[in-house]
Amino acid sequence: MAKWSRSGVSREARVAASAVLLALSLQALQVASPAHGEEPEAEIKPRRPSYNNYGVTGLIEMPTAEVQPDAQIGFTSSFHNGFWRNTLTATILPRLEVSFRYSALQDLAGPNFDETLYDRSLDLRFQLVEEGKNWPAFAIGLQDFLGTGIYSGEYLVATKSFLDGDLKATAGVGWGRLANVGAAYNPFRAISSRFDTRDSGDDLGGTVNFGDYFSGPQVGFFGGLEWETPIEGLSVKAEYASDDYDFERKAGAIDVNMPVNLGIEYRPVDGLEVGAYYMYGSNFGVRVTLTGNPFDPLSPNENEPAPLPLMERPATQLAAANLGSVQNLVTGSPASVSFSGTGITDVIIEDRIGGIRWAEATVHASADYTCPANAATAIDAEYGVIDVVTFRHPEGRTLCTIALRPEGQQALRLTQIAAHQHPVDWYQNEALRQQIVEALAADLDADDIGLFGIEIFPTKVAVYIENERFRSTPRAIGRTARALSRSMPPSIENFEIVPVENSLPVVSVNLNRSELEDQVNRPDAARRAWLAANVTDAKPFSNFNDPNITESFPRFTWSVNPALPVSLFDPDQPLRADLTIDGAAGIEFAPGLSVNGRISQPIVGNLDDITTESDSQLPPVRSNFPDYLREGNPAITRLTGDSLVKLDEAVYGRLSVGMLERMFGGVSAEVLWKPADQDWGLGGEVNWVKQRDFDSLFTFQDYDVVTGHASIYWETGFYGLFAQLDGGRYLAGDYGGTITLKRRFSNGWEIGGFATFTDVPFDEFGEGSFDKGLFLTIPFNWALPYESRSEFSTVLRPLTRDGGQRLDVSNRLYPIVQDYDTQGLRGDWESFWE
Amino acid sequence: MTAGMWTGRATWALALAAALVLGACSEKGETDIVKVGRIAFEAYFPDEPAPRTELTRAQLDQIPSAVLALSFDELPRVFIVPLARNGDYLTYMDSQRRGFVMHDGAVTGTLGIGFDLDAVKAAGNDPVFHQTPLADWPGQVNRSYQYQVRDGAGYVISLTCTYQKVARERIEIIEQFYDVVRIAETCTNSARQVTNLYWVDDETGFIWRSVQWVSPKQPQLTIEVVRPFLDG
Repeated sequence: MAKWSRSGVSREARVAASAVLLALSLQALQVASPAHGEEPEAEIKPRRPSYNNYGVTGLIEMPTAEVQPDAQIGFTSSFHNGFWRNTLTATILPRLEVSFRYSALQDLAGPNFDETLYDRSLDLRFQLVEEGKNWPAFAIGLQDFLGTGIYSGEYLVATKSFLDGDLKATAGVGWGRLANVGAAYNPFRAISSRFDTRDSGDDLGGTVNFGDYFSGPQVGFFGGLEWETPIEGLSVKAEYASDDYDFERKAGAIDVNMPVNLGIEYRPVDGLEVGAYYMYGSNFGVRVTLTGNPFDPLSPNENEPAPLPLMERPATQLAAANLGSVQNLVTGSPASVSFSGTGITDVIIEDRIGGIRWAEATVHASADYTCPANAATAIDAEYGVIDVVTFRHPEGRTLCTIALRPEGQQALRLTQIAAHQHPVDWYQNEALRQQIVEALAADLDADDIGLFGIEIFPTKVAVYIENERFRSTPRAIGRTARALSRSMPPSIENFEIVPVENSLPVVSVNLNRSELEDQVNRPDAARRAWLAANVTDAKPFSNFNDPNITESFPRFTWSVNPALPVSLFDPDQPLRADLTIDGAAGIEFAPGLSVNGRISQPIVGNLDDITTESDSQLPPVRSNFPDYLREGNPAITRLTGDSLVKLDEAVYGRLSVGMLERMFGGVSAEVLWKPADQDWGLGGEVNWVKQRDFDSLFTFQDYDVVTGHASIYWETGFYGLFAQLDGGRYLAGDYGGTITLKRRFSNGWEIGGFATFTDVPFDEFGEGSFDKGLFLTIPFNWALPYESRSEFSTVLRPLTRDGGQRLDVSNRLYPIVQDYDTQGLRGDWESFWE
Repeated sequence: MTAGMWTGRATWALALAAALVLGACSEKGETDIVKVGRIAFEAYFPDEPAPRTELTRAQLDQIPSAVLALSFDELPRVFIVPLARNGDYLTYMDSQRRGFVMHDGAVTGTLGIGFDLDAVKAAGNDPVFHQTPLADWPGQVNRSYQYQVRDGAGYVISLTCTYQKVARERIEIIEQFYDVVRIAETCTNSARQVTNLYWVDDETGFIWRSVQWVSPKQPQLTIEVVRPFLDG
């Protein structure tokens, strides 16, 4: 399956071509999806708060104490008085919002203030107290809290809603930028003189200035109202702003006639906000926000065919004779008839395997041969805690058997298995076994699941599957279990299903066939299936010619796709992009042993216009990316020989040789230890690489380096947070570490950030002080009306410098196995039966 | 950028424009961009539906299994047969892999029709789930309908249902007549109220026809038993 995340070209900021697909998908969605009715929870779902011109939850310019729903992600673009702000805000944890902003501010730069100032800023805000019936919500915020930002300020704010939420009132106190109107003495100065003054920060930016927070001679006060009108989606706002644009006024970029802003906003659909404002008594402003939430798929429906039924094995004559027809009444509901009214003449209770209480009940001689199912609960009530009831006619005929509790259900199943005694003579017939395998392969193929390998025994089967369609691995496992139920002989009781990713058998999911037959179509079936499943590390293949591998080798893959690499945040032109055609091809000679290539040809665009010259004091390992963009026409972005292998049940290995990425070629080796039942893993990688020539073809420059890292990976289990710590040597020869934090959602969304600190001093590193960036991954599945494993993935770096840069090699091991451990499967298991 | 570079790019652009126009492709067939385009096209320009002819009882008798007739939204009924039995659950599915699951007279799951119903948790004395002579129908039952948000956690709609006898009627299901009692079932919770209708043989409790709510996002299903499923 093609992954889009590594197809970008620009090191400055990469957006894969999937952005085009995503946009098209969204449009198509409007067409493809039928009109749907209400959301089940619509009646109780509160209205999402609105954003402000800074792209955070707020009024017009000022913040409120409200917070967006957990995981909400919004992009806001606003403009007034020549100030253009673009902000990406995410509620990365409940009540905690992070915003990254890129602003183009006219007439604020240059010696005569006639040039545009480009500014990056980062905000953090946390709702301290949720709104209650008798108290408002309280929030604390740090605005532009890194480095030299001109928007630097802090605030405490309270918001209370009235009129069933239609009217919201906000009042707050601000420091820094937000302390210029309604000013009063900063009370923190009474605590320490440290709060007396506010530093402007160092020249390089990017660092945290703890000493400045809540400091300055004075504080300012702000507040406002938001009223949601009776017209659906239409609201009006008014605010008293404590930011008087002191710096901008002095530069002559804005007139502030009064500290009051007025606005009207409209939300035609939940994911779109537009607003128009009268700002500071002097000018008009506009805002548009696009927002979505991983928990609310843009396409909540899909047009995929339903899974084929799981086929229950017919009961043998012996089982039928002993138990009659079997029913489950595991409802816990009270008896609907009294025992005396059932006509039962005799009840014998036995304790059987596992402490099960099994009642043998005899119906009246005059009774017909129908199953008196309702009498079972009456017997349960009369005799107390009966797990199973078998009804017999006095003539000796068994009428039926009723399970009343899950324990009884399980005991009944075991009894059935014991009675089944399905023949296993089929196993001796090799031709029949081959037919069974072919039938299974055809069944799986209908769901785009490849049969990579299979081991058949008289009572067990192990299948190795390649899921090419379903984003959710448990869903592919469930479909495979259904296919096995249809194709495997009745004597096979245990299904072992091994997902294979990049030809690596990752994890083994063991399912009991009888239990599946008991679970399907029943309430809580997914939960019950998970509780009964056994997840372990999959055994490695014995060798390249493992007899259990049915997939044919060599196998060939190829793809041709449009791509849209972009460059952001260049002061000369903040947005540049190319439209490229990316072609990829690979030959896998044996499982895990392959040659892969990728070539990118720009068709139209302006990425090669970047003229920024590297001023780095370090070896120019990344800062010379414009040269690669100019001369790589076309560029071979990958040409490698690769070996992926499972060395032991929980140990994986990778060896890559060749043009590893657009800028470097060489040798890369990696080892990962990650048991399936463990939420953390350890990895090590060492590379010897040489810098490629700017044409990205087959020649090299002089610079080479040995680089590598030891890594620890940890799925914390806390709101899907994933942490990674890497330590080692980077491309420029600098030593240090990278910390990565991501929130990963079970549906494939990821959002997070990273920061790298090395032994390169901040002043030697240059602007930004250290390497850092944000991740965002949006699975296409979230937006498309069908199943897809493709995704849109981007890394936003405010700057690209040379310190703290890692090799961008394909097929790193942890991302391959990440979703296949116990925790990953459990998080997505709800889709097992889908 | 030099003029030579532009010339080179123009050549590439001409050579590769077709690939863009045709969309992306791979050894696996159509990729997302192509598939989205196809779905959009099919939505704008749907195929002419094939003319549907009503089957006769004699024709349906040729089918050697149970047969149900399904209809919704005023659309003509389709006939559907059980593909699998799991315990007391019967899975009915058509060739497009769409269908539903039934437990006695109750629809307990929908398949491939969007916003599918996963399962229903019902009481042991629920007469729709466990065939019960009409005289023994309880006054009230509780039911939980289980769903799953796509790629997300599931949710449950719990309803309390009461029954009301409406009228004795003679109904026709494909040339076959049945004397039944029409029962109106009203199911409510704090947020919604739905009404199901059942045409029930009062002696056996067998439901020959029903109009059932299955989901807040799907129309009610009308199900008629052309030929009942017989054990064994």
